[in-house]
Amino acid sequence: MKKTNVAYLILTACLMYFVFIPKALAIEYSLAWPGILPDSKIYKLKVLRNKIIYKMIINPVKKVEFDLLMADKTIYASKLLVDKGEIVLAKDTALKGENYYSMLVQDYNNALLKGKKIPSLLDQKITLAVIKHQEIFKEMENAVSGEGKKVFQIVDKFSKINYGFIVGLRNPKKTNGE
Amino acid sequence: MEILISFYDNALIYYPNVFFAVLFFVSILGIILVSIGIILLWKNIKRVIEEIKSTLKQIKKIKNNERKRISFVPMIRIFFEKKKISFVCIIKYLTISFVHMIKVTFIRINTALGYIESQAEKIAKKIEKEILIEE
Repeated sequence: MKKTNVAYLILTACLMYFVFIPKALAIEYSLAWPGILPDSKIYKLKVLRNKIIYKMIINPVKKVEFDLLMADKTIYASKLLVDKGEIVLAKDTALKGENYYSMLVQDYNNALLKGKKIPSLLDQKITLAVIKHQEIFKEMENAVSGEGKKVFQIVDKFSKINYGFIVGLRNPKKTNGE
Repeated sequence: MEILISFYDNALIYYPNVFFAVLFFVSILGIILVSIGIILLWKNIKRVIEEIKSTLKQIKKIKNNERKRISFVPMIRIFFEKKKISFVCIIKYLTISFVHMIKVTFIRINTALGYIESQAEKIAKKIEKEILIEE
């Protein structure tokens, strides 16, 4: 009887953790406003500006912060494009947004290799952002039908893989099986 | 230093347009200041160029007059006064001075010979007169 109670408690705790906590966190996190959308003519200029900024940033931790901001903005822009009905462009933008998150993983690794400590607030933001991104990808999946749905599913999968990398970088010993 | 870098990175990430606008205005201000500096310096540069031109003219005059001068000493004096000393110039003026020396020596020998000749003629005339008086 006691064993079943303990198991029940663990199960409910797991449920609380995986179901309620991410949702509660997702509500707290708000994405940055993207400004000019990719359907604008001057969007290319903005991309160029962002590339220049990326090159100009000195601190590797700040690069992680920049990648996160860019991922947030691009994914939010993708959502706005879906709302506008520009699905093809939205798919590309979602992929580019997730690519920013992949860059974040690389920069996260570089920062750790350079001996920089990632602030806990930024770490928390990275986790919250993933939850929010996945929530948006799910919303877009539901809003779109056909091939578009497949792309958003793939992007969602990428997002999970990327977050797996981040978790691996946070706890390198556990992932190595030690 | 780290605070400064952090401030720079934050400005770049969160206020990129402001950052680039400031950079643009600062660069324009820099260009304006540099151009004003060049304009102010141009007068001095012009003066220096004029001075160089005048010295070049004087040197040309000296070159034109050097054939007319018999003595090379004043020419070399001007040459040193203008501080135009170079290996080529020294060689040039040494050869000129050597040629002048030879010329002067030749003229002096000539005059000396002429003087001796005239003296000899005088002596000869005197001797002739004395002989005539004795006769």
